Amino acid sequence: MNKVVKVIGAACCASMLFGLAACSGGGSSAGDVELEFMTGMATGSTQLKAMTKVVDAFEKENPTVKVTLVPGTSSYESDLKVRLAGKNAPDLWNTHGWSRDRYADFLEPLQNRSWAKDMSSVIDTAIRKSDKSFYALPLDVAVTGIIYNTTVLDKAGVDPTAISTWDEFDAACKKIVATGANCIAASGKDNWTVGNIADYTASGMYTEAQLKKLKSGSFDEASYEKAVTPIYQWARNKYFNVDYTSATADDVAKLAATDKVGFVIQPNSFAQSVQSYNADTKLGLMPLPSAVGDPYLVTGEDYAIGASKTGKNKEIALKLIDFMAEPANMKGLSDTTGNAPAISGVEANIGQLKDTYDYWVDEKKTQTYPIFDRVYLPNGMWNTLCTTTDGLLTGQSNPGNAASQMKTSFESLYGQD
Amino acid sequence: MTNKHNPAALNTGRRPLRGAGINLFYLPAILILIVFTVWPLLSGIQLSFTNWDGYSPTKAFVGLSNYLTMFKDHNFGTVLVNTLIYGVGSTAIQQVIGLGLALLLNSRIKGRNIMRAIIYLPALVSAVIMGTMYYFVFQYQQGALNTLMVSLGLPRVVWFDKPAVSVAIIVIINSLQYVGTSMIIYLAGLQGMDHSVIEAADLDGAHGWKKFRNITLPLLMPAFSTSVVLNLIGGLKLFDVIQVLTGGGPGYSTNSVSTYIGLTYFSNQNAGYASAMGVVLFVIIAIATTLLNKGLDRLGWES
Repeated sequence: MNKVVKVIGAACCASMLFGLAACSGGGSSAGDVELEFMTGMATGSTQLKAMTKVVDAFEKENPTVKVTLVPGTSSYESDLKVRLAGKNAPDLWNTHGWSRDRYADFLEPLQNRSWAKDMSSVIDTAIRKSDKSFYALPLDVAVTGIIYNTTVLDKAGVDPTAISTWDEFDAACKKIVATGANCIAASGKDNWTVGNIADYTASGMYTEAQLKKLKSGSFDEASYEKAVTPIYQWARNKYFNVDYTSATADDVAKLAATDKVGFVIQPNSFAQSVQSYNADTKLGLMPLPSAVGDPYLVTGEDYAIGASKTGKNKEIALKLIDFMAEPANMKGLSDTTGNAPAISGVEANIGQLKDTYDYWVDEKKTQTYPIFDRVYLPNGMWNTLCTTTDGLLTGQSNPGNAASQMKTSFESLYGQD
Repeated sequence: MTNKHNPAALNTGRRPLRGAGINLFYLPAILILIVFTVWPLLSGIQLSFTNWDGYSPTKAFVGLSNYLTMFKDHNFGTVLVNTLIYGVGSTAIQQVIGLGLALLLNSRIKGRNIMRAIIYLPALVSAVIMGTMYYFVFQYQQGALNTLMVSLGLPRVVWFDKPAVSVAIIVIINSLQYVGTSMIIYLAGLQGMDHSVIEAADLDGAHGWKKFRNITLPLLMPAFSTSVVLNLIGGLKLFDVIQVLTGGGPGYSTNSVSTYIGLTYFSNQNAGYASAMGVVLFVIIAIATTLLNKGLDRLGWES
């Protein structure tokens, strides 16, 4: 009897150990190379479809390579951090704007790749280190500002090209609200949309001297309080969508698609979301007014792919990045972002925003600032920026409190980079 | 004391290896407990004394700094109060409704088995799904509740605009989801009662409220203890519903300590501070359950 008990007990232990061993994942067949690529792109999105097409072509050229594309989820950033903390980095990943400040220690430098010399210099301030090294292939160059709905603005008698100050923007909002539409829309459920508003508008609220001070690690509460006061006022003036707290990012796109909102401050890919609901919506792009100078557009890296420097198959991963940088592939990828390609010689497809984009970028040569948090705030402050701005919109906080919370977060994170 | 005065010890001493094989049965459970509970707890305590950002290879020892930060962090005060509301509020609602339903469905009413199943069903549903379903109920534009209000000629309401209302909605949703669990515990208590005591009470002429207050309720004390402790722990650890329904907003106003830990650990890249809050939450839950258990035990004995 005792022997039987021992055998059953041993079987229990063995089955559990086998179970744990199974967690380490399966292997590939002999000779084959498997690459894991965390794309950060949503299932079914045009970006993931375009990436799948490029990867399929790469696998066809390299029959022994199998690339597993992992779609992005709402916890993409956390998933990635857990993988890095566990020293289990994927072979490739989308650095979503943080290739230099967050992931540089984990990524292979790319400045010596053959395509590096053709890369757009517009986002140098956001992705290159002082020694010119960079760590990800940007699939696009985000140059953006305020996206407006032409139909709503026409109805309210607002000319977007005549808005160059925040006072003029405020006057335009009054006219739009008077027609029954919302002036600005954002989503409290997906509060990155409101984070974008603070992020895009902040650069134009600081003087060059103040920005320099901020970059050197000195956070002045009064300056930030002043920078976010307009957002707080817009909310008090009821310029935002009334369903802000329960609205999702898709709801914001639906508002624009049904001509119920005048302005949205989001990346250019917002235009594609709107058109997925109503292809006939008329949208345009305009620069952001500045409190300290001329209107400006913001630039930054959006989708950018890096290869793990400790990856077992690093050379193959780099080969895939080189393949993505080929003009035909880069065009396919950047076309889905609503932004210009990051490699010169690749034709841009800005889509619906093309005319106004060309007007402000090529014709008017509008000045550009890097996206505020990527350059002037330490890595890790994005969420505080979103949540404190959300508090301003809902009235849970005021500009002074928001500035105080930002200062606390700034001081705890500055120097961690 | 020597072994000759202790028959049990003498017996063990004579045949120390007899039945040792049975130990292999609980070895997997102990291993799982060590790997998934004890080790993370110890790691969390260790991390709470560092400034780790949650993913970098390096971290530095910062002493009690993370624990002191809690006193300066206004948000921590808010989320701690919210956590107590989620814990105590949900527990109170679940006991009242759970016990009421158990008493109702313990009687011989028609369809009681189906009703028990329907009431218990939400407890089997993932809290994320439950939260999502209720999000569609309380949504402003296409929400079921606002659609109903509009059809009744009433204006739409922004349900998640006010923190107090949002917190109340979260408490109600969590209570409704797990009220079935309390009901099952009370039903088990009611059905496990010594019928001779009930019959004796009937013979003595005890009826209605008097019988419930003096006979049923004291006999339900073990079930009450189990239900209260389980619900309180669940409420104090509340995460999923908040995450799905409000994401902790507006601002930080509906976060619980658990959701705030997630936010601090991953989004704010402050794993050290998040771990310190985790340790504090663990201590709060441990103290609350110990005190509650002792109090309920004493109450049970007195009853």
